Amino acid sequence: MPTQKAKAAVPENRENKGKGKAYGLWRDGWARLKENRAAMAGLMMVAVIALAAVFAPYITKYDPTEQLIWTRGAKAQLVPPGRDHFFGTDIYGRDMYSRVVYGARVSLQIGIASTLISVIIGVTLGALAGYYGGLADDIISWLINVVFAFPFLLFVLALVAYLPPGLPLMYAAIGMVNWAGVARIVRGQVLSVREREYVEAAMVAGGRDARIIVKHILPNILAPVIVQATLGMGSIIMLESSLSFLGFGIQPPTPSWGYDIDQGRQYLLAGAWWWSAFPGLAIMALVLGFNLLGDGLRDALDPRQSGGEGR
Amino acid sequence: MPWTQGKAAVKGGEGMGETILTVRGLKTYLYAKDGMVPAVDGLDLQLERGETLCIVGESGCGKSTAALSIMGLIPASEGRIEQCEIIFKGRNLANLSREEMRGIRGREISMIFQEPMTSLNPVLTIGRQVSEVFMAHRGLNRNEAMKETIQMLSLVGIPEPERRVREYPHQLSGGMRQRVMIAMALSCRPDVLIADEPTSALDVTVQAQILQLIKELKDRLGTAVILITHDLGVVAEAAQRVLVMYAGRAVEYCDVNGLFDNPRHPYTRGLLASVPGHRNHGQRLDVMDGSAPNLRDLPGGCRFYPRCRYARGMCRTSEPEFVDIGEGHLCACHLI
Amino acid sequence: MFTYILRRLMAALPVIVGAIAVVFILTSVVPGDPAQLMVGQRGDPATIQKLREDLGLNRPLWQQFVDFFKGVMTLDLGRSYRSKMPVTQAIAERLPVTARLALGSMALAVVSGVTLGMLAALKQNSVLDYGSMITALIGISAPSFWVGSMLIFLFCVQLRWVPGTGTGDGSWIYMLLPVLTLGMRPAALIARLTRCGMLEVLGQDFIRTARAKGLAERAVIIGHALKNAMLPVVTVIGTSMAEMLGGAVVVERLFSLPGVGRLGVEAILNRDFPLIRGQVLFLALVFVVINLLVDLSYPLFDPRIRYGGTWRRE
Repeated sequence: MPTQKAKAAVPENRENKGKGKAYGLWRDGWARLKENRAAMAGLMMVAVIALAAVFAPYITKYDPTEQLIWTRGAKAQLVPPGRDHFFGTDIYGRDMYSRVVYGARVSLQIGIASTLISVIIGVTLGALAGYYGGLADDIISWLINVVFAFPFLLFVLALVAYLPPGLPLMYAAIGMVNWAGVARIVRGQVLSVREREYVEAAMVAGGRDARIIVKHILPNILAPVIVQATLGMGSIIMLESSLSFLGFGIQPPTPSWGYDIDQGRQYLLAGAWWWSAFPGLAIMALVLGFNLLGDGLRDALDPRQSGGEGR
Repeated sequence: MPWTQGKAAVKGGEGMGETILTVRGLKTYLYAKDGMVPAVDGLDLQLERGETLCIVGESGCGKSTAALSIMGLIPASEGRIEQCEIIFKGRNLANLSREEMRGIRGREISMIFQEPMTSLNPVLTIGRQVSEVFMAHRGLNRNEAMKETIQMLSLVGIPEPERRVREYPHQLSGGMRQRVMIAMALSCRPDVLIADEPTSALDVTVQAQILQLIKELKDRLGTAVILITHDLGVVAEAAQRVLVMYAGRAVEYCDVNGLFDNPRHPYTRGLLASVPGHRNHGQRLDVMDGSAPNLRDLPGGCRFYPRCRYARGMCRTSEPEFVDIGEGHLCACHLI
Repeated sequence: MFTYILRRLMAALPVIVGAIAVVFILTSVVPGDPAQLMVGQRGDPATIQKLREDLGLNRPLWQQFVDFFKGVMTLDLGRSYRSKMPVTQAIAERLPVTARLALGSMALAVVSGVTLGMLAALKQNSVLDYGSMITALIGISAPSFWVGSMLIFLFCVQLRWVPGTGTGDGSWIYMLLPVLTLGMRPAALIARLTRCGMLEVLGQDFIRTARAKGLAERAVIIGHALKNAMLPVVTVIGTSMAEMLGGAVVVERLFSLPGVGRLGVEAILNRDFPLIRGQVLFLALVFVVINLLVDLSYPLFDPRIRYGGTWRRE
C-alpha cells in the first residue's frame, strides 16, 4: 500500500522526546538553514569578517595606528582609495583598510563578550522566574519590564558615564541592559516546557530542581536563546559603534568603526568621504550578516516564533 | 459530447426548467511546492434554476476548487484555470474581465464557506460587512445599506438585528456567524448560491437549523444552490440532484432518489455502504479500501480502478466516458 | 473597555516606580564619589565637602531616595551643576527640537513603511518587493549616524540641495535630513512588518469572503486587509519610539541640533550628575507613557480587546 511507504519515509525522530528530539531538531534545523539562501549569505558575511579579524595582521600592510605623515609627510594625508590604500587614509595618514580590518576585532569582541554576559544573566533569571513562578517570577518580570522601559542606548550611556572607562566595564554595562530580552524569552519557554509530561514526571519522581533545570529544561531553551543571541549580536555591535561615535566607547587610538565615522564626518566637507564610508559599510555588513543569520536560525530552529520584533 | 446527451435526457426526463449554469470541461491546476496539481480535471456540471445540486466526494477530490473556479476566486498566485466553459445565463464567465466578474460575484452568484469562524473579518462590525454588499452592488449609501442589512439579518433569523449590526464576529456564536454569511450572500437575491460545506464546522443541532434556513430561503428567493458536502445525510436532506466527484472528475450524476435507490458507479456504492444508516442496520459497515489517488500520479485508465472491486482489464487501460445511462442518470464506468 | 484601560494603567505604575528606583540606584550606588568625579582629581577637600552637602550626598541613602522620589513627584529634579538651571527647565527648553525630530521621523516612518510594505506584499516576488525589502534590510542594518553622514555628504556637500547642519533659521529644510536619518530604521522595520502582516492576512478566509462579495480589489485591501495587518505595526511604533529617543542622541549630535539628546551627552561629558539623572528619568517616563498610549490604542485596531479584555498576540 502506498500510504505505508510514505509513512516510513517520514523521519521518526521528530516524535521523540528529550535528547532524541533535541538531536533531531539540530539536524533538521541545519538542513533547513542550508536551504535558506539569505541565512547562508549572512553566515558567509559574518564568517568572512570574523576571519579577517582573526588574521588581521596577515591581510594588512600597515599598522592600524601607524601615522604615515611622520614618515611620508603631508602627501600621506587623506589619500583617496587606491592601490596602496584600498580604503584611503585619514588626516594622520593612517591606512583606513587596516583600521577597518582591525576594527572588526573590537566590534566582535564586544559583541561576543556582552552577549555572553547577557545570556548568562538572562538565562539564569528567566529560568528562575519561569521555573519557580510566584514571587520570584513577579520580581524578575517586573525587573524585565523596568529595564525595557529605558531606551537601550541611553541606559548604557548613563552607565558608561558613571563607570571608569575600560573595555570590560563596557561589556558589563551592555550585558546588564541587554539581558532582559533573553530573560523574557527563556521565561516563556520554561513556563511551557515545565508543563510537558516528561518534566512533570521528573518532578513527581522527586528529582532535584537544579538537576531538572539543567537536564530537562535547558536543552529545550537552547534554540530560542541562540536565535535571540544572534539577533542581539547585531544590535550590540550597532550600540558599540554608537557609543564610539558619541565619544564614549573605545579609547583612541584603538581602531573602532564608530569612532572613525565620527572623525571622518568632520572631513566630509573636504570631500574625504572614504574615511566615514568604509567603517560604516563594515558595520552594515556585519550587522546585516548577524540579522540574516538570526532570521534564518529562527525560521530553521523555531518556526513558531517568527515575526517577533527583537530590540 | 457526453454531457449534451445528458442534458437532452434531463429535459426529456423530468423537465425541471431552464438551465442557469453549465460547466463544461473545467480544469483547474493548483500550484504546489513540486509542480502543478490538476485539482479539477475536466469537470462537467449543470444546474437548473431553483434546484439544489449537491456535490459529494472525499476531501481532496476537487469539490471546493471547482466552486472557487466558478466564482473566479482562484488567486493567480495559487492556481490557474485551463480553458473551459462556464455558461451562466447565456454568458461565458471564463471570458469575462475581472471587473465584469466582480459585478457578478455577490450579486448574481454568491458563496458561503465552511468556517464561519474565520470567514468574517474580526475587526469590522457585522453591519459594516453585510452593508458593504449593498453599497458595492446596489449603490446604496451607508444609511440605506444599513437599513437593508437589518432587514436581511432578521430574514436569516438573527434576533435583535439592530443591536447585532454594531457587534463584531467574535461576539456571535458559530451558527449566528453562518447566518450572517448567508445574509451577506443572499442580500442581492442571487440566482446561484454556492455553499461550501456550510455546516461541517457547526454543532449537530445547529447544522440542521442552518440547512433548514438555506432550504427555506432558496425556495423563497428562487435561488439555485450548489451544496458541497461530504455528508450523505446532508445530501438526503437537501438535494434534488447529486453530482459525485472522484479525483477531480464527475463519476455520477442523478437525482437524489436515483443516488440512494439505484447507485450505479462502484465508488458511489462504496460511499453509501460506508455510511451507517437504516439500510445497512445491524450489518458490518463496508469500508472502501485504500484512499483517494495522488492527483499528480494518477493511474492510467479509470481513476477508481485501484480501489474498485469490480475492476476488469479495460478499466486499467482506458478512461470511461461520462455518459447518460437512462433518464438523466449519468455515470462514468465501463461496467455499465 | 474601561477595565482594559484601568488594567493597563495599573500595570504601568510599578514600572514607573521601578524606573525611578533604578535611576536612583544607578546614580547613587556607583563605585566612585560623584562629588569627587564632578570636581575632578585636583578639587580641594572643602569644595568637595560643600558639593556633597549641596547634593545631599552626606545624608543616609534612604533619605536621599525619599527626597528624590518626592522631587520626581513634584517635578523638582534639582539644579544642573553647571548652568545652575533647574533640570526640568533645562529639559523643557530643549524638548521642542527633539519632539519635532521624533514626531517627524515617526510620521515619515509610518507613511513610507506602511506604503512600501503594502505594495511589496501585493506585488510579492516582484522587483518592487525585492527592492524594497533589500532596502529595508539595509535600513535596519546600517547605523543611522553613518547614513546621516553620507546624506550630508551627498545633499549638502556634493549636490548642495540642502543647507548645512544646525537649525539655521528654523525652517523645515534643516529638519529634512535629520528626520530622514532618524526615520530610516523605524521605516524599515514597519515596512517589513507590514509586508509580513499583509501576506498573512491576504491568505485568510475573510479576504476570500470579501472577494466573494464582489468588492473592488481596493476595498478588499484597504478596507479588509490593512486594518488587520496593522496590529503588529502599532506595537513596533511603541518600541521604535523608544529607540528613536536613543537615536535622537546620535542624530542631534550629527546635525548639531540643540535637543534633549545633545543635552544628555553634554551632561555626561560634564559629569553633571543631577542633569544626567533627570534626563534618564525623563526619557524613561516618556517611554513608559508612549507604550501606555500604544497599549491603549490597541482596542481601536482590534475589537476583541475592547470587549474581551486581554490581548493575545497571534
